[in-house]
Amino acid sequence: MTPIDRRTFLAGSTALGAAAMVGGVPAVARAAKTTTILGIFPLTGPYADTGPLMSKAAEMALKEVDYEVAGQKLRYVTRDSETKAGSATRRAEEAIASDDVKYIVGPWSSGVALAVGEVARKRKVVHWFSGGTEDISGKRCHRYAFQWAASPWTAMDVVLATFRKQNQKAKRLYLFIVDYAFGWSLQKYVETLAPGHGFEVVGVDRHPLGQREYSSYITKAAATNPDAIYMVNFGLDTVSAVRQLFNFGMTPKIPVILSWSAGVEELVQMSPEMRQNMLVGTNFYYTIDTPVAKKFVAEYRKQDSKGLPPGYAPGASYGCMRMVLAGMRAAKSTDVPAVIKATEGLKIDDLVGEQTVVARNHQTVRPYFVLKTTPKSEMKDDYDFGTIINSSAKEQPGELNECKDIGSL
Amino acid sequence: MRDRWIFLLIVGVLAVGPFVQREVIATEILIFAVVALANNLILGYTGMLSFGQATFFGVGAYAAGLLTIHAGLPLPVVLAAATVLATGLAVLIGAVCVQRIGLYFIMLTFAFNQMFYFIAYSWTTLTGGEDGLPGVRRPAALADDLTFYVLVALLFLACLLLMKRVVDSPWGRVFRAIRDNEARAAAVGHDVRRYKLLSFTISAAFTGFAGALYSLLYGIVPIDAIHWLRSGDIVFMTLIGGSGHFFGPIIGAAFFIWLSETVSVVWDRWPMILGVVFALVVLFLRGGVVELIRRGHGLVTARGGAATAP
Repeated sequence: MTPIDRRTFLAGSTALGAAAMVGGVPAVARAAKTTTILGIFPLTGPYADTGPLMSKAAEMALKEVDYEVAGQKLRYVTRDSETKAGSATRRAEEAIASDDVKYIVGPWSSGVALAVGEVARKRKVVHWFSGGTEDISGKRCHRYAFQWAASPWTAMDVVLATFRKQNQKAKRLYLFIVDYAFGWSLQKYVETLAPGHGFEVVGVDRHPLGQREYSSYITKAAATNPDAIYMVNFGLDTVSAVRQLFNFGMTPKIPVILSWSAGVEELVQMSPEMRQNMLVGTNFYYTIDTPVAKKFVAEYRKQDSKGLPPGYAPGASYGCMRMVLAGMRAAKSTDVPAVIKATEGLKIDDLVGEQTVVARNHQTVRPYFVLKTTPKSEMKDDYDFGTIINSSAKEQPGELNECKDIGSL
Repeated sequence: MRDRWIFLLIVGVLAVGPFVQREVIATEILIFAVVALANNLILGYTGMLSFGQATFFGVGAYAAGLLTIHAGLPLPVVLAAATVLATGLAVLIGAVCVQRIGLYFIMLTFAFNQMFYFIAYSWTTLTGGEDGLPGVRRPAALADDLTFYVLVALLFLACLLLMKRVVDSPWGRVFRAIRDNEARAAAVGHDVRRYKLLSFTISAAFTGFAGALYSLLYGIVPIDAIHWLRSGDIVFMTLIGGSGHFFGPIIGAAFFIWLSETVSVVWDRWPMILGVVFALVVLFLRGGVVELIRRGHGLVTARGGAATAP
C-alpha cells in the first residue's frame, strides 16, 4: 500500500475548502405558504409504546382545524426522538432544514426535551413540551420554549393538600424517588411543602430509572411505620413498585400516592386490588369536565380498537398542539415571532380548563388534578380507574422560579 | 497508488457532502467516521473488541463543553485539552483492560463505560446529568454550519492521514501481528500488552477528539454521548463498513447515520431494518460494505477480462 503523501493531502484539503466555499448550500426551503409543524416523539426506545399515541393525538388537533389556521395551511411531519437527546437533536435539526419546520411539539422525556429546546432556541422555532422538568420554564427558559404541564410546585402542593383533606390524622410520609432530574426537582418541593401541610418526611429512597425490584426499599419503608408511601416516579417504575407494595401487604393498609402519574397508561397495568386506597396526581385524566376534553376523549376512544381512553401522554401532545394553534389564532398569523408574542400572556379555556401562559417564564398556569381510585365493586367499566376529587391551578411563587431572564427573540 | 485514489475520492465526496446531505448530518457523519476509524485501530488492526469507546467520546465531549462554557478558551486549546484528557484516561483504563483478553477485555471496557456513564449521570452540577450539558457555543467565526462542516472535514482528513500513518508504521505492523497471533508476536520479542495499550490509547485520543467536535456541533452534550449503547453503535459502524479495510469504517459511519435518518422518517420501527442489515452483513458479508464493493468490482473485472480474452 502506498501511504498518502503530504502533497496529496494538501491538494485534497485545498480542493475541499475551495469547493465548499464556492458552492453555497442548497436551500430546500418550501414555499412559505404552508407552515410545517414537527411532532417529535419516541417511536423506538424505552417509551416506544407511548410515542405513536402521542403523535396520533397531536395530529387529531390539526385534523380538527382541517390543517388550516389564520388562513395558513399547516403540514404535520414526525420524527423519532428515540428517547435519546443526541438522536432527537439531530432529527430536529434535520427536520428544520429539510422540511422548514417552524413549530415543534414533543418529545416525552425531560432530558431529551431540553436538548430539543436548545435546537429550538438556535433555529428560532417554537417548542411546546409537557413534562416534569421545571427547567424549561425555569433556569433554562428562553423565548422559544413553552411548558404545558403544571409546575411541579403546583402539582406537589395540591397532591399534599388533597391527602391532608382525605387523611386528617396522617403525618408520616415515606418517599420513593426516581433518581434523576425529574425526581429530584419534585422531591425538593415535596420536602419544602410537606411541613406546611402538617406532614413529616420520615424517609427517602432514591431508585434508578428502570428499577423493577423494590423489596429492599419496601422493607426499609415498613420499618419507619409511615402513614403513606409517596411516589415520585413514572411509568413501569411506578407500576412495579405498586405491584410489590401490594404483594408485601403494605397496601391497601397504607395509602399510596402517585404524585406525578401517567394516568390511564399506568393505572390500566394494575389490578383493581392494587389500585385500592390510592391517590393519583396527574396533568390529564379523561374525565376532565371541559367541552374540549369531552370531544377529544370521545374521538380518541372511537379511534382506539379497544376503546381505551387517552392518558396523560396523548393528552399532553394534543394539549400542546392546541396551544400552538391558539397562539397562531391569537397572532392571526403563523409567523414565529408574532405567535410567540401572542402566546405570551395568552389566556384560554381549553383542554384542562383555564390555561394561562405566563409571559416571563412561558409556564402554563393550569389545573393539576388529583384522583381517588375507584374500588373494584364501584367500577362502572374496566376503565373507571378513579374520580377527580381535587384540582388546583395555583401559580408557583415568583421567588421560587429560576427563570430570571427569558431573553430576546 | 490505490490509497491515493481512494483519498482523492473521499475528498471529492467531502466537497459534495453538504450538497447532498444537511450540513449538520454531514458533519456528524464525519465525526463518527473518525470514531469508527479509531475503533478500527483496536478492532480491525489489533484484534481487540471494545464496548467502551463511548467513555472517551463522552469524556472528550464533556471536557470540550465545560472548557468552552466555563473557561471560554480558544477552540484549538479546547480541542487539544479534551484530547489530552481522553488520552490520559485511556492510559489508566487501558492499563487495566489489557491485562485480560477476549471476553474479559470486553467486559472490562464495558464496566468502565458504565462507571463513567453513572458518574456523568449523577454529577449533575458538572455534567447536567440526564438533562445534558447545554450552552456549548462555537466561536462566532464557526457559527455557520457550513463553515463548521469545512473545519470538521479538514480535521477529518488530518485524522485520516494520521491514522493511516499509524497503521503503515512499524507500530501498525506489530498491531497486526498481535491480531493474527498474539503468542507469536510475544515470541518474537514484542511487548504485547504495551502495544495493545498503545493501540487502545491512540484510538481513545481520536475518539475523544471527535467527542469534542460533537459537543460543538449541536451546542449540547447529551447524556447518551457517554452511554454504552453509543459504544455499541460504534462497533456496529465499524463492522458494517468493514473492519478488514482501513477506509471501511468511514462507509460504516455514513451508512449507519444515513440509514437511521432516512428509514426512520419512512417507518417507525426502523431499528428492525438496521437489525436485519446487521444480521445479513454478519452472515454473508463478513468484510462489510467494503467486501460488497470488492465482490462487485471482482465480478466486473472478471466479465471484462473474459470479453477481452483471445
